Amino acid sequence: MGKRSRKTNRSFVLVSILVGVCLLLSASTPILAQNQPKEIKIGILYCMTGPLASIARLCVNGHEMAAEEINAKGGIKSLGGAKIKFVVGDTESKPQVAMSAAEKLITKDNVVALLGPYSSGIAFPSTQISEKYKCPNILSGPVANQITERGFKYIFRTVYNATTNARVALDFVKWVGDKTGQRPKRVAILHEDTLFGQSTAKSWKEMLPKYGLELVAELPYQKTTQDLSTTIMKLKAAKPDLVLQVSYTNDAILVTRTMYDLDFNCMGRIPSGGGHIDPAFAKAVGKLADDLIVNHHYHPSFKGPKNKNQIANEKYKKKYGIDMDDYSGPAYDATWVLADALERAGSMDRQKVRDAIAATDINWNNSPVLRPFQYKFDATGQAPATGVFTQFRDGKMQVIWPEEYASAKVVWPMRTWKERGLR
Amino acid sequence: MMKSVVRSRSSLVLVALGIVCLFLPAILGEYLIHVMILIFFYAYLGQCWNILGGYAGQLSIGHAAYYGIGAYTSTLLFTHLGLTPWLGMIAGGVAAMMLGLFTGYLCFRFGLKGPYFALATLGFAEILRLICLNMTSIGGAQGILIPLLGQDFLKFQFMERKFFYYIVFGMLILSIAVVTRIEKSRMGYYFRALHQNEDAAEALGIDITRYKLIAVGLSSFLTALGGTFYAQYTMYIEPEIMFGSFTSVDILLRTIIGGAGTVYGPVIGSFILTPVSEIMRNVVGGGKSGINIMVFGIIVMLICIFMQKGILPWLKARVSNYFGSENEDSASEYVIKEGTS
Amino acid sequence: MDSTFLGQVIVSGFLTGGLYALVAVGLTMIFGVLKIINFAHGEFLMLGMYLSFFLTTYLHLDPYISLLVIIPVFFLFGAFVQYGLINRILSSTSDIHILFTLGLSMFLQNAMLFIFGPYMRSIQTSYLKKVYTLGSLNINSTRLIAFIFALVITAILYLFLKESNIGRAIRACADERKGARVVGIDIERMYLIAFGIGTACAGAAGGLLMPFCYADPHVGTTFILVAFVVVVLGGIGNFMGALIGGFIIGFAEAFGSVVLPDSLKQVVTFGILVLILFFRPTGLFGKGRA
Repeated sequence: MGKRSRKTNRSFVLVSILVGVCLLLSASTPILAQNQPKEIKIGILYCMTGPLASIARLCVNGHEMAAEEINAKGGIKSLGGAKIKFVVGDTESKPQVAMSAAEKLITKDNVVALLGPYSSGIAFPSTQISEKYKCPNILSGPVANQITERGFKYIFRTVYNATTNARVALDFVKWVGDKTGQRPKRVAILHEDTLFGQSTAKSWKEMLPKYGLELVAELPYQKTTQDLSTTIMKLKAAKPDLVLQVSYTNDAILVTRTMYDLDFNCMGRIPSGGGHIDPAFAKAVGKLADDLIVNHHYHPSFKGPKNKNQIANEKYKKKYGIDMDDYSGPAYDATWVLADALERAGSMDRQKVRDAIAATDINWNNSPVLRPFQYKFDATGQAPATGVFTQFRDGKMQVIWPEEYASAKVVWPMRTWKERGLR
Repeated sequence: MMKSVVRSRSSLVLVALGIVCLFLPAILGEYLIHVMILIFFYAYLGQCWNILGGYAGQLSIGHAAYYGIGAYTSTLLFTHLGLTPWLGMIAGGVAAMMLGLFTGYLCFRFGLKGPYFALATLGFAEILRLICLNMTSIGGAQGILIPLLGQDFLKFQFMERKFFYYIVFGMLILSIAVVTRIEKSRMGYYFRALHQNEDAAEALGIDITRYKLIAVGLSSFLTALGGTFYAQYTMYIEPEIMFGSFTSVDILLRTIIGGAGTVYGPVIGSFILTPVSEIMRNVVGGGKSGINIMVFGIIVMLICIFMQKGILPWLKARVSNYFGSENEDSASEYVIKEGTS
Repeated sequence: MDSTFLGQVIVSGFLTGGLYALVAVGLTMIFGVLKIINFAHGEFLMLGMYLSFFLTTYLHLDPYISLLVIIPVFFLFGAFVQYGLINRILSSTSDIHILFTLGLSMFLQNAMLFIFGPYMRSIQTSYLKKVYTLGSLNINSTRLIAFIFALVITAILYLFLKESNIGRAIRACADERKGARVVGIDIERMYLIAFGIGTACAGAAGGLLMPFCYADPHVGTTFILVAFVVVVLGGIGNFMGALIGGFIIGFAEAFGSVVLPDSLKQVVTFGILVLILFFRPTGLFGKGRA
């Protein structure tokens, strides 16, 4: 009885304690699991390599900074404080690669939503993949009309499309013409030949007659060309007052240099964003860019509520060493739009997220976004985005329009190369 | 006796492999099915090229011309007229064949051979590429995106990869059948003759131009079908991929490495190169593109130095050495070929 | 089209033509002596551009001074490629030649892609800001210098081939290989030298292009195709043919881009290739059958 029963007793107690602990642990595991912050995987699809890589980097900066802020504020609260985690896909500036990268992000990495790509030519095919797999996709870069005109339900754009772009540019031309009395009559369109260039040029062409302007030359060129001398000569021969241009970074540099070489002058040259906003452009051409008027999606000199643009810009500058721009600004906003939608959806289900994005209704007063319009998507997924115009002065960009945000007075007409002391 | 045993054994093996391939989609994941599709697809294209470049010996480095015409024809007929790509495929094949016969006739009539013929084929492909690049009515530099219509057999669109798998596998079997038929036929004999020594063949009374044209016609028609498949599989075409010089090289690469002028050379070439390419892309990956093609370049150079006929003939020669006198005639056939080139 | 326009087009034709001539001369020499069509020639040009980029950006050499480095380096590089690689397939069929140099071209292009990435590199020099005016014509100094240097190098090469002993030996090899061996010329050595010179021409052309063009791994493809057209036009193996052919194509492209949109001007070039191949495959100055 004695020894044996004591041993049995002890093991009995030990086992019961063990069982009890196990029961307690298994009971509390669901509670523990619920308190574990999950992460929300968001796909970032940009041309990380290739000619547009520098631009892609800036877009990703904008997304990153927003994500850090979102996560620092506790992540998406309706999902238990889940943090945003980016999964990066590289389109290599090639449409087919973009399509397979999108497919991988959606089907293998199971991202909840996609952000990007930046360029129209790449986004047009990749968004078809997003639509195919019913994955919500927010774009903050491409302007081609066709992207939101296909009856797709999962594609949303937070920047203006080509038609609005054209209208805004021509409104500006009218404004500056009325202001200075120098009204251009003859217009030439110089554009690169992919979807960005084709779509923007088409929109301009359609609108010119409404503003009483005459198209005297349309000059497409190959995006990867190394020599534009004959094209610029043809431009010269057409004697335009106003040149509307669509270019990416490298061709933008080439156009400016060639115009300098061939002493091409006109009343005004207005490129439509694209490569002209890339810091690499200003760095390469320096003072040759002076008097160039560029339209943007975003510029940090906006006077937002509580100086938010300046504050955000200081933060960005501290982190990345340069000012916010057309690429990082809209990207930042798009991330916040997505976060707002996720918060309202309270779920990682793509359909619910999509519906939440479609119901977005925020602006810079009631949310951290930095751009001055209402983020509210129409039935095609387009937001009523606006833009701003800057002019290069001494190699730097100054805002000239809309006037309430202007930091400098517009110089119109453009001075000749000689007048600028460059020849 | 030994030869026929070896031969029937190898056909058994091939049939068994074929049956295995039929069941693969059930066990492989989407990504691996995609890799198999690529393997079959490039083997198919290589086989089409093989007819002209391997058997008839006319080195074409502009085959992308036919490939592109196939893709553009069927895609344009579909987006503008709603014609099912199945028929569009045939139309593309016919269009490519007409181009092939036309340019082929011009080349052969003027006696272009060797590097001159190669340059001419390159020239034609480049001209087509530039024209396509500039015609905005057919997409221009932006290319054509085929609208997504969901699962629709008649429209050659499928939501699951396995349908494409079976289609391209079928195409590969078809091309192998065609080439096997050629190899065993008198036509194949004439091809080989004019490949080895054109003047001698002509002296023997073979109509060189006629057989060269048959080779071009067949090769271009089949290559164009591949173009349509690609268009429907990726849903996007543009002039650089469809007509570019790199695509032309891509088409002939597996065949050269595997063994031009053999039935299974392109297949072996594709089974080796394609997985190598995918593995390298995934292992190295992350924005460091180019390594797979770099390795292809090295492999091509090595093959040119050490195994000039390609891997399959080299293997066959080794095997026949191993089997000794039984297979002497095939070994000596190989030796004679070396001598006359 | 007024006289200024016409004048500018002619200038453009000259400037481009000079560079094409330099590239083509190198290519035609390789073919003439070694009887090989070197598909990797464009990649040598691309490598020349990269070397110029690195010398200029990291060692702060003047791009034109860096030519003094590029030319000998590429000569040695070419000789090395010939000795180590080309030699091995020299005795094979022309099909193998084509495939081998294609493989080499793929390797070089993608090795550069892999190591340096697909980014376009360019250099900023003070020369870019200098534009010379001749009446109403404008000529950027970088293009003018490239043109002058190209002509100078070609002239030196011509004299070398004509007057020096080695030059004559090379020409002998090109004209009559067996006879040259019989009279005691070291054929293998001539191969090395010829390939070296051809490569050096490509490298030099790359260095001259760098101040006003972008370097990226694929830039060689554009130039090689034009170079082929020039070589075929002038007669494969014919020096003067390559020189004159370069200018013909330069003008054809310049005038072509007036009539056609910018991106179609190459159709003119390839159209000429096709026509020449059909009607006179031996080229304008060549002799013998195709």
